[in-house]
Amino acid sequence: MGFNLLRAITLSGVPAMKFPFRSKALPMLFMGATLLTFQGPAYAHGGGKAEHGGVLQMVGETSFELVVKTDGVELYVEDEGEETPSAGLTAKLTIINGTTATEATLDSTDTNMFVGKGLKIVRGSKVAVLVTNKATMAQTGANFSIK
Amino acid sequence: MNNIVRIVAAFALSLGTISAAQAHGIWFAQRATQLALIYGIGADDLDSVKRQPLVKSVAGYDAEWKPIVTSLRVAGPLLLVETESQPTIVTAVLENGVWSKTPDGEWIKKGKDEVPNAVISEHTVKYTTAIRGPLSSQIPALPDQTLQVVPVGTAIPVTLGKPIKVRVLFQGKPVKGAEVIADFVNDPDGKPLKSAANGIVTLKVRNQGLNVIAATYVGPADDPTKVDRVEYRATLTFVLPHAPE
Repeated sequence: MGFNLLRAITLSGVPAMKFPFRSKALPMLFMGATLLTFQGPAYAHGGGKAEHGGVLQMVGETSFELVVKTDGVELYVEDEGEETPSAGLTAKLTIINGTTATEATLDSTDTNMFVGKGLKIVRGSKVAVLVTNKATMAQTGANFSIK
Repeated sequence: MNNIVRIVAAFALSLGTISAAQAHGIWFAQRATQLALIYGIGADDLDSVKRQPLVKSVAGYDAEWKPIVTSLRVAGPLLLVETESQPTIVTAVLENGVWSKTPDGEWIKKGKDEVPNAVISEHTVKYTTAIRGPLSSQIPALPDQTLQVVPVGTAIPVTLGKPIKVRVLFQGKPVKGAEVIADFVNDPDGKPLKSAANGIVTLKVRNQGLNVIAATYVGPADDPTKVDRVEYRATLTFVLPHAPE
């Protein structure tokens, strides 16, 4: 399908980084879709590599890796390349498909991963991620567009 | 003498040549990773917390322009934005009240009914829109943004120096003659360009980082007993990413 590159693009849509993908990694992505990510500099402060077969978005020092699976969604959070325990955070996804917006709160785990079991994300959807630190209420967000 | 000053001021105002008074504005900017509402001009990042009571609205919208629950919270000296989900744009309105300028150049927060020697009195309102995510469609005229600056279309340049076409809307419609500057933070005294009849101005993107485009439009007095005019100031902010490190 020619999706051998996962291209993360900036807010304005220009490629900022490329992720080489081996063909066996492709099934991990929903229908081999190209995920376009927005906002924030890439490779700016470490932690700039997708490690779970998803697409990475850097927002300052924070990285979000969104993994779209056939049976749900995973979100991994790192700060300056260090895993951020999801137990100290909340994560909310807004999935916009056409004029329909679906919101979902992801479940934390004992690692830096959030899970959203059963969440369906189809091609053409926009996914907005908002993570809030429970202690400081600091919020960091990112936007993904799935093509 | 005062009458002469007022006459000259009124004449200049009628020509639209008076420099913008009470030149402060509001915009959103990142502070310690968080989105903060800034009040100031140029490098003057002033006391926004003190002005929180003047903030009449703050709003967030998703990619389909549906409202997102949005609020401000005080965090030390900052006013930080809190949203229930990740917004595509956020907006705010600050009602800055009535101000009068005395012949010696001092601004007093009173109407001309209380400052009889005022050379100009104005009601000032500040608006701002910040782009926080990719635009999938044209930013619409938003209900609380009496004056609004929006990019034409959905594409934002990715490098400084590239042209960007913006449209100035007043009460939801394109307005002619609004004065627009490309960089309210780093060049607040820059020579403004005036919007055309279709509200459009083409600027060069100034910064590979935060860009704050500001538009000023002067309208007729809403209360002629107190002010000579209403000054509307709107900003549009967006960020161009820096190169990979």
